[in-house]
Amino acid sequence: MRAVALAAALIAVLVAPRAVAAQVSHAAASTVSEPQGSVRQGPRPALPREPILRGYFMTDLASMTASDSFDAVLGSSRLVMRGGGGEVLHIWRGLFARAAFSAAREEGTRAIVVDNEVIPLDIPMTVEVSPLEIGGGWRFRPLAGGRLVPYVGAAVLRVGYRERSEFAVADDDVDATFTGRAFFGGLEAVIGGWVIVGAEVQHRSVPDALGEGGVSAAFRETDLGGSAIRFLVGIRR
Amino acid sequence: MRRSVWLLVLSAAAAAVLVGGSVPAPPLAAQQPDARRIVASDLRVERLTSIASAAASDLAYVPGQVAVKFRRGTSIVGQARALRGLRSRPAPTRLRWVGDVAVLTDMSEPDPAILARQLRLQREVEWAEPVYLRRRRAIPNDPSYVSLQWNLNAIGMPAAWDIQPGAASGVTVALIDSGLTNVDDTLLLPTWNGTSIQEVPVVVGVNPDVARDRIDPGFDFVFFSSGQPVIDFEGHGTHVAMTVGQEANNALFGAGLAYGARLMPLKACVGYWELQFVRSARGTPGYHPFDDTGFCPSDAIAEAIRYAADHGAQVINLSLSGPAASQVEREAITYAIGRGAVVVAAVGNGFEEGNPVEYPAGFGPEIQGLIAVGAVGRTLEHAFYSSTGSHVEVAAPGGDSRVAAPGTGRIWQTTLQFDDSLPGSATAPRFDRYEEVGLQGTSMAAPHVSGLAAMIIAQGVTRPAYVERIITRTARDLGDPGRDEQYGFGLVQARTAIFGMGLAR
Repeated sequence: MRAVALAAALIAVLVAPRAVAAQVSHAAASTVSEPQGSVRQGPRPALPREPILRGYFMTDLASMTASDSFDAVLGSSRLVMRGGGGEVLHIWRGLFARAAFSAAREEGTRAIVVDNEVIPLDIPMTVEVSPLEIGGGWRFRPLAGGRLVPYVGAAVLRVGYRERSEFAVADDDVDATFTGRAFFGGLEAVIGGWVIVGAEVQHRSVPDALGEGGVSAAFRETDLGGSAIRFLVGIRR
Repeated sequence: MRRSVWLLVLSAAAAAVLVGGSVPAPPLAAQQPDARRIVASDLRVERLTSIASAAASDLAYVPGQVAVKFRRGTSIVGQARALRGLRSRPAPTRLRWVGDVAVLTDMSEPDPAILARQLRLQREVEWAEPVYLRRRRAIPNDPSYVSLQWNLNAIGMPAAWDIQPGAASGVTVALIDSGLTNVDDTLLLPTWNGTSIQEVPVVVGVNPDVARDRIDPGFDFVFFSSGQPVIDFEGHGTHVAMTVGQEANNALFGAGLAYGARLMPLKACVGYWELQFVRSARGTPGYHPFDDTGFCPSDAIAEAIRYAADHGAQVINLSLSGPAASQVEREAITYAIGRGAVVVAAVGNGFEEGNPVEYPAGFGPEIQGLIAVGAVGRTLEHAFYSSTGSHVEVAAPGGDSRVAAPGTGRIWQTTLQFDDSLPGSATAPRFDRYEEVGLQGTSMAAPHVSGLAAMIIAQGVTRPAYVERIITRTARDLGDPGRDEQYGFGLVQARTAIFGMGLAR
């Protein structure tokens, strides 16, 4: 819910007049075409100098580093996280900043781990993972006639982790936040002049978040991070 | 109603005997048309006589009996050849089989250690050992009605029941002990009344605090030749069974841990009254010498373990122990675990008597799925009697009368009224009235773990080794950090074991 609100706010910012003007300028620059049949590549399109804001919705397909632990209680080590984010582009040349929030909520059962074998106990539990990502990166010169923009970056993560079990009493449940980092790289495309779509690969590391109890202790898994493929859809004008 | 009248008559007659001393009692048997006459052929006279003989000599084994295992593939001819190494040259047809182990009775050599040694010299024999006598491990006490069942809170039972209200429903727990009475009946049994042997009506009844449909028929390996009915003539087996599965939420007496479990009583132990009845059945006058712990021959224990495994028991409780390691028991335990049964054994009460390693609990560390249980008292400290050693795997409440107010530190469950069958004085004992009785011992600790094991199984864990690991890993560490010789991995925690683990906690 918070993710949706954040995304909506960012979209609202996007449609503000100042942002519109900036986007128009950017669109014009990014659609400069190269001469047909040239042997050497001509000069890449110039990047706009004025910072612009934009927002997007995203879906992360995350594969958790603590794969045995997640698999033990949820039946899978893959989480689908949904959320939204916003970016300030062209802070200085290709530099951009980003803030994004996503969340996953999965239901599973408590379990016992014996000799690395998992025995489910039929006691329902819920796991929620919600990373907040604040970072930035560098957008490279557009490719394919300005329609594709590659980028790389890094971010600080604040990952909220909640664990709720039926029959839980005090201290059985978990509600904690951990700090980690993420590195990412992706490719963004513009469709129809104002819709952006992108795919991004992330590697997240949230050390020492797990492993003190539960199945994560049995598997000696401590990292709440993982790898993720992010698909994003945003708008620009 | 008619039974009540007869009981009144019986009571009056018994009182007359007690008061009158040497006055011969009337022939009560003739006045009992409803009573079922039990004669010597109904009883396992030979086995009981051997036990009585051993008890009289304070032996730890049954005279003239050995358990022998022949090497794989040994034919009857080979078995006969091996048996010819003995003085009496018994035929293989004299062997009684307990699984793939044979029990031989050869009274020409009463010392079974010699018999076993002679057999081990034969190349067809893998091993041979005496039939040991195990002792039940409880210390009886006068009944009391104060501060009952601290033990259940100590291991987190209320919260465990919240998670599993059915409390091991659908799981069968075998209790290899002195029995858990499974019939209401009146039996005519011979006994000594102070002056003569006389048949007396012995009333037996089912404990009112356990639903009848939860009592499996079970089997009697030591008293009735037919194996039925199973009757507890002493109360130990009933007390242990009630710790496992006494009815709960019925406003009657107390509760057991796994009150939804099925209880399978397997009688492999005898006490004073069984030996007294058989003594009288054989025409021997007088009272049998009283021993308050009773006797459980290792071959009967092994038979019972195998029976339990073959008849669907998922947990087997052994609140008994003895100082000698028995292969026949070990193999039976391994067999049962292989069939999916968790075996729980008391480590023994000999801490202040030399602290020997006692068996079958002594096999605990070697056999995954066999759990060796020591005892703690109400303060959750090592109970004064509980044997210690590297074989102790977990601790459970067993009571400790030395560290609590009188009567409050024991384990209280519903069992037979001791006053109804006082050895050596009651001439017409009855075994149909129940009351809360406080006992202490590792016998009382073991059924806590059996009940917990049943609940874990009901939660979906079926491999015995896994059940053991769950119980030991979720135990609350007591004493020295980590595993130690007093508490093993610590005090079992029912709620923790049932609740399992989340992802991070």
